[in-house]
Amino acid sequence: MKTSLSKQQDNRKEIELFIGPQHPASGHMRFIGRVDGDIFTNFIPDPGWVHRGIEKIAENRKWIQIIPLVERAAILDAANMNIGYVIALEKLLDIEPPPRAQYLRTLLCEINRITSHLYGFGIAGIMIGSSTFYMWPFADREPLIDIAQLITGARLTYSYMIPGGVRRDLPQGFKEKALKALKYIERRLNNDYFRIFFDNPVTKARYQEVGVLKRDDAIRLGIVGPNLRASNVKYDVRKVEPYAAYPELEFDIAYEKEGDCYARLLVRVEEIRQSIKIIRQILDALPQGPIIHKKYEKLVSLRKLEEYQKTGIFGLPAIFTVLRPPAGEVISRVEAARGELIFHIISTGELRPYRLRMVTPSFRNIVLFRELISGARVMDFPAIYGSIDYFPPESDR
Amino acid sequence: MIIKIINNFYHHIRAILIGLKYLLSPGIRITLKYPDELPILPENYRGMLKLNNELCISCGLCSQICPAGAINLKLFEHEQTKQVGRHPEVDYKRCIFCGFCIDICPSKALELTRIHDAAFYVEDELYYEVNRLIIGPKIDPPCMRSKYVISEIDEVRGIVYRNA
Ligand code: SF4
Ligand code: SF4
Repeated sequence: MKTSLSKQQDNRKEIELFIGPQHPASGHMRFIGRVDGDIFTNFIPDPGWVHRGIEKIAENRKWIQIIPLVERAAILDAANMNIGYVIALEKLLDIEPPPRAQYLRTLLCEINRITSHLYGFGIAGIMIGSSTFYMWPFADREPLIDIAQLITGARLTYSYMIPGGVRRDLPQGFKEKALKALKYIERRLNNDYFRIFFDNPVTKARYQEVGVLKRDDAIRLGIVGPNLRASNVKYDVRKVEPYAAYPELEFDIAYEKEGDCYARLLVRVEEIRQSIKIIRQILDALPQGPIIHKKYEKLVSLRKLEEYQKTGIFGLPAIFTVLRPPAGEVISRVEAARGELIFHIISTGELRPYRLRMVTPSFRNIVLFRELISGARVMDFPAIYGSIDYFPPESDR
Repeated sequence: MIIKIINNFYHHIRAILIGLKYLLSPGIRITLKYPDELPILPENYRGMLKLNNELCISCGLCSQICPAGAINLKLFEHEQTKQVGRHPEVDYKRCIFCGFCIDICPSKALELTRIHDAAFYVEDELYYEVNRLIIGPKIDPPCMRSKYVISEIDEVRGIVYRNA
């Protein structure tokens, strides 16, 4: 006896639910879930829709040309992607940037961390239906992007760090502008954001005790960044293996105990506060001196040197076009906004790297979808996704 | 239980009030009304390029460093000065505005313009030959009423735009 198609479906207990791939939230990404009633019985993330092959392209680029390339992994966290690669390259070249350059690098990284977290808040807001909290953090990124633009000359793709230092010094009157922007963002964060979103009972109802990640699970799965710290693990590469100017700066690791969606959000709030604290310290204690390693300072033309002394814009020395780091293998670890970023580079002493491996934080956090959403309700999916702050282009690379 | 209800009610009201405050208070807009308002960008903004062919020593470093492969060198003779040299041409379909070429140019022949929002009618116009690169990018104000503004960071309102 034939049964109609709809009848067949009626008999099926579970249905398959596809989410994406057309930009479900923060980027192109597909999820395949099996739904029993209102509960996901199985949930599989299916990444790869924005794969650009950065690792492969890097094998065809000169060392210096990879700087803008790795930034494209996470465009809103460009400075942190940049510093990871440059630190690895400096390890190969065996040079150490001067203190002022270290501080300037840290400054840009922290500005970027704030803008990246604000972006994450916006996405989290719209995913649970708060369009006000989508607009506010996105708009409030603007003052910070503005001050980053003053340092680097670009809004998002800074390409600011080069082996041996940074490309530009701070412009005149930067400190006052930066302090104003920090004050603004601090007030918005501590008053307005809490009133409209974090203390809002709707947010709490959607976020608290949803998507709980236990401490042991977080460690077992190798979760990184704020998601790990929200499960009561105090692990931050800036403290564990300090780089740039972090050893000299005072800040605390933000962490929460609960491990639910709300805790993940609060960790980011606290991280922004810590970043503000770090930027203030940098602005106060910025050491004087050159922004580029002595070795390279001697190599630029006289006309460029004059410009550098006058305006603080350092030209690239011609040697960067034929940079050949000695053969070797290095690993660098930095704390990007979404967690630990690892570069593993193999050099054979050629113009181009033999292999560049880039392990991004979102790539390591992707397993959370499977872990947290299997067993959760369908309506908890946006809440959990928003709280993870997952960024597909960063994961796909 | 009762306390929780009261507490929730209080926080609901607070959320609504802060939303209303920003809805009703005038002049808290952070958005730039582009293109009616055109921003004057900071001095060192990395925009499109301009070439000074008299300074260019035809070294080719700019094309060697370009991460996007946007620069080709072309033999060029200047119409008036009859100066001959191999000068860069820029393909803005590829350029990512990284500014590496400007930074590496040893004679400062390439310079920054603060223009980044030029529009083109034909795809081929995106390819800047040497003579167009010497003139540099030009934009017309997109509409008659557009005016230039300076953005300033403000403690209370984030960013304010002042007429230039
Ligand atoms: S700005 Fe960068 S991408 Fe554009 S032409 Fe110069 S080096 Fe190439
Ligand atoms: S523009 Fe500058 S870098 Fe390019 S060929 Fe001329 S002098 Fe060399």
